[in-house]
Amino acid sequence: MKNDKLLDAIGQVDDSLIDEAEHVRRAPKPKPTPSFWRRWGSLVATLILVIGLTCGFIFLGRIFSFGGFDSSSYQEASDMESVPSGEDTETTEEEAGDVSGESSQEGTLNASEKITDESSPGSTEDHSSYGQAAGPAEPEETAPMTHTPGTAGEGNAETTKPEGITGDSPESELLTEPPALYVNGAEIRSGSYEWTFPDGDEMSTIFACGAFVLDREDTITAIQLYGQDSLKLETVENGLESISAYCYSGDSWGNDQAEPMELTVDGTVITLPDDSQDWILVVTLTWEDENYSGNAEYYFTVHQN
Amino acid sequence: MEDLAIIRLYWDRDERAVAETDLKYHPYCYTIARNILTNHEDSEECINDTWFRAWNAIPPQRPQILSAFLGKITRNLSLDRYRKRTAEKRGGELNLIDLELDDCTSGREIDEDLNVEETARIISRFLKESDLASRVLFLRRYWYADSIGVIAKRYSMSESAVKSNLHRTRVKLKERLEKEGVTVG
Repeated sequence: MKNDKLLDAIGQVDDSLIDEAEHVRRAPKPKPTPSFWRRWGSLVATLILVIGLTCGFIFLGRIFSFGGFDSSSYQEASDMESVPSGEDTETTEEEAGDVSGESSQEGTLNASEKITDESSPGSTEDHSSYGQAAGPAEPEETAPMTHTPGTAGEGNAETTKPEGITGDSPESELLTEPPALYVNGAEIRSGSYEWTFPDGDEMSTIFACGAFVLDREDTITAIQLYGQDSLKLETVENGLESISAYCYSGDSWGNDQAEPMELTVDGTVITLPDDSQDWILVVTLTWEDENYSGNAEYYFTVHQN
Repeated sequence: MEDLAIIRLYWDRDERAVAETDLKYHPYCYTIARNILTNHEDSEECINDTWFRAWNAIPPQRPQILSAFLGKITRNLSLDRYRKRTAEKRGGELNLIDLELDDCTSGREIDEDLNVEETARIISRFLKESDLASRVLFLRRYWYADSIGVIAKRYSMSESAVKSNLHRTRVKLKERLEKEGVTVG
């Protein structure tokens, strides 16, 4: 064979590398996508329950207001007590509002599913649609950011950790995979990562490696910008050590030879190139915490409106 | 049995060392041999030769990572056996691997004077600087001789993602080898 010597040289690499390649685990497979009925059935059931309870309360409220029920007294009460009836109606509307609120929340969750980076077959991205953003990665705990123009450059460049990261963070939780990254309200799951966490008495390291970023045109998260020249990132802060970013121009899809451009990162703010065109971004975050450590790459595109 | 206990048996010249090694590491070494040789009988012979080599090597050696130590012996023996086969009997992953490694050498024969140990050190450094996924995939392919399909299944990846990652690593390795002055023809 032509490459006998190279094969021999590869055969003599450090034992630690050989051992690592044997023992590194794959990232856990995402949970199966809930079926249509499992996903929406619970919502429908909740709606029916809430509407039923609402009607029940109105009904019972009228009964207790007039000490009993018969059709004539109910009718009479309805005719006489217009004010309480109105209050009940308000309550009903309020509760109905809760219902629609719940409904819209569910809608929001599904909207985030649509913008979540779809993984290549078998990869471990896109956990969001399975409700796996439990713990610190929950949007409720690390709310999607609101971009404030002009914040770039305001960070403390002397700190070793990104701005706002060393603040009053709550005690960290064990994370068995990298947390989500929030950019302009969009939740992005890591497309490639290596992650170490305690697993019983031992430390486990897993990795996920999806398709090359420029091969992800059909699945990558797209973020709309409105005159922004920078992006603020939000994610789990505990143990966050560093953020770096680079980008490709938006017409680099499928180009294995495309040259990336390094981006300036100040704290948690990424400054975009001056040109107001589309960009394909790769943001790398590293964490070093007692409960987890590792690095994760997040991919998304930005488009100037 | 723990590796340290097995190594102690070797140092005590206790023949149970071989039995315990076979019990614990037969599947591991067999996979390496089988990936290269694609033949059960040859693979089993390589395993037996591996135990014999290990028996002769320990002591004086005291492996830090017994699995890697045994795996290296198996891999070397399997490659030797593979190379001794007639060309028409060749097949399996190693032919494909040989073709893929052309990316690292521009398809030219590696210099006869190539220092294998020094090149191995360069490759080790290169891999340690690479990200975990790239080095693990590289070693599964070019050290363990796993097929692309097996690697993809092992790490829940698509085959195209594995190939793409390996291609990029090979190109980077070629650049590193050239930068370090490793002659490639």
